[in-house]
Amino acid sequence: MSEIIRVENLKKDYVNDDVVTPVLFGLTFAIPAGQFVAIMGPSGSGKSTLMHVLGFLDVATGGKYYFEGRDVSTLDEDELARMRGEKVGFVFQTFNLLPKTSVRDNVKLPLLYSDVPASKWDKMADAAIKSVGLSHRADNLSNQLSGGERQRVAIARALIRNPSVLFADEPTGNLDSKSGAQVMQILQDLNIKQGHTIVLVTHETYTAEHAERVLRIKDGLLAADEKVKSRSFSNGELLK
Amino acid sequence: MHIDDLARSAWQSLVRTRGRSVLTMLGIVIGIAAVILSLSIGEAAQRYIVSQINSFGPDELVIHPGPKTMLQNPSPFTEQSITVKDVVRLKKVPWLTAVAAIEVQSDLLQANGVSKNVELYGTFPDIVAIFGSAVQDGVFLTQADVDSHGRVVALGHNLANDLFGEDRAVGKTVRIGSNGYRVVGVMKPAGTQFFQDMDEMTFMPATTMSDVYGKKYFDSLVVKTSLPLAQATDQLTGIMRDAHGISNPDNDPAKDDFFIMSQAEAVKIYDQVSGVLAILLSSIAAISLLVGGIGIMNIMYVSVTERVSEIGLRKAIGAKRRDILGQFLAEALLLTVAGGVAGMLFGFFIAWLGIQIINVYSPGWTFVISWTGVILGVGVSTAIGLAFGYFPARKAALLHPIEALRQE
Repeated sequence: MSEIIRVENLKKDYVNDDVVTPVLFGLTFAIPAGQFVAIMGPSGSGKSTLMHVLGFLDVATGGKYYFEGRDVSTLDEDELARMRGEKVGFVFQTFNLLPKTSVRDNVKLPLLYSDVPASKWDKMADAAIKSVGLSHRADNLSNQLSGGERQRVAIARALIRNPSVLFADEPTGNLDSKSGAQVMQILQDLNIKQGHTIVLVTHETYTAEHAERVLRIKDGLLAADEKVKSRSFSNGELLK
Repeated sequence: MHIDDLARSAWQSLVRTRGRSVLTMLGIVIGIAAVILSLSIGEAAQRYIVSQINSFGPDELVIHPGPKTMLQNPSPFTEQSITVKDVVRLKKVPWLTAVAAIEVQSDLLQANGVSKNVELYGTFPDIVAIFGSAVQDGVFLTQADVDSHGRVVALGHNLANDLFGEDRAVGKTVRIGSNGYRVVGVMKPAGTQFFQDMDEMTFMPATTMSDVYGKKYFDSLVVKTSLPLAQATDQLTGIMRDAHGISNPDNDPAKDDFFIMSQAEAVKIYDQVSGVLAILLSSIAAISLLVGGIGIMNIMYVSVTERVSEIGLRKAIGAKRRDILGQFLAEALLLTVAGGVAGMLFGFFIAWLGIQIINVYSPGWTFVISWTGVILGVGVSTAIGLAFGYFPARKAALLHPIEALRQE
């Protein structure tokens, strides 16, 4: 399996008014293509910061980060934006859909910043919406959907440009257990049936166990890197 | 990101907050409408003034009382200096083909059971030649009427109609103030000339007016000349100085008690006045535009603050700084340009309406779309959008994606 993500001694400091707050103290690991990895840790552990760096939303202050063999530290602001658009997709805890905007228009949004001609947008959006099982909702406005449906729209939006890696930041955090289970099932399907590489950030063990590998972060360090022994498969309720 | 995608995206954002978008636009609508209105009315006034002045022929000169310096320092106490003697004197000048002085008075006219406030023109027979008007029925005032201080009047076309309808006005008696006058003539329709609606006018001998209203001095004296204007002006100045006993070898206009203007000079003076007026009006309108622009800026800042997480999301899905900048600038531009176009239409409509109303009282005004106004309206609203939209848009573009996503 080829490597998509490789980090070596990755560090991140936040600087605020000359006060330096280190968050990541030097992480080293690699993620091969097609893997479903969970980054786990308590709040304040630095797991979100790690995801932001991996997803080009933030830049490391030390160490190396290679994405598909490319050194990310050499990229400028515009190139990072391009990487965010082309190479990765994000699913956030808070869905971040545009309000009062149809499901289809929400899913199409990333294409606005792509070179894909506008004539193809609807077709691509409809395919992505279908893959999360929401075809019947395509013309509804985002605020007419349930939480679970909104998160599925967000997944469709993340998938529309067929990214190399899908980042999901606490995707079930705002959902009831049933909707959460549905979302996890979709993520697992995307990984197992379609071979998408998925990086899931969570603080919940039962959510993390949907992945095949767990990276435990504690105080900005990699505390453990382990294979999930008894992987859970959601097809009913998310067990809490 | 293409321009049309950008425009569509900006449009969708504005529609999402349509109530606020409309309110924001209102400032620009009112500002542009005010500019358009003042420009349109200003231009219409200018056209009207020029057309009115042009109703005087190019071979005519107007002698006004008071030194010419009065134009620079207008005073309500105009020096009175032109009398019937001047008319008699100028009548003898062979190269003056028509000489008529004018004094104006208003009074209540009653006839045939109708009462009406009318403008009275105390004047001389030559006024017909000067205005290029003619009688439709009867005769105009004659020199004999002037000499005998006759109680006779000639009526403007519409006035005669209003008073007597289908009946013949000539030969009837009208009452003006407390005196009776015999109608000797009814004029052909003549429209508005030199700011006076000729068709509503009552003409009477200057001598009669002087008797009845105690007016000894004239408002102006108009002559028609067969000499070139410059030469005629020189010679007339000499004649008038002689007649008024003024010695003025240095040609100092302050020493004269009259001044002579040609049509071209009059146009120039009125042009200046109306130009200043237009600038004044536009400046006031510009202030409301500025206020509207600040309103746009304010709302765009609010919009950026409110949509921080949207901006974060857009960045997370690949938007570059310039995409975000473009999006917010496009929104500001759409608001101002749409507001500008609406303001223009509104302004033109109000100007058109205003001119219709003015026309009721003072016919001869025409409404024409001011292209200066159109260019200015579109240009200014675009400039306002860019200028006042830039800083909020820049703030949005520079937001860090993480900071933006963290906010809810």
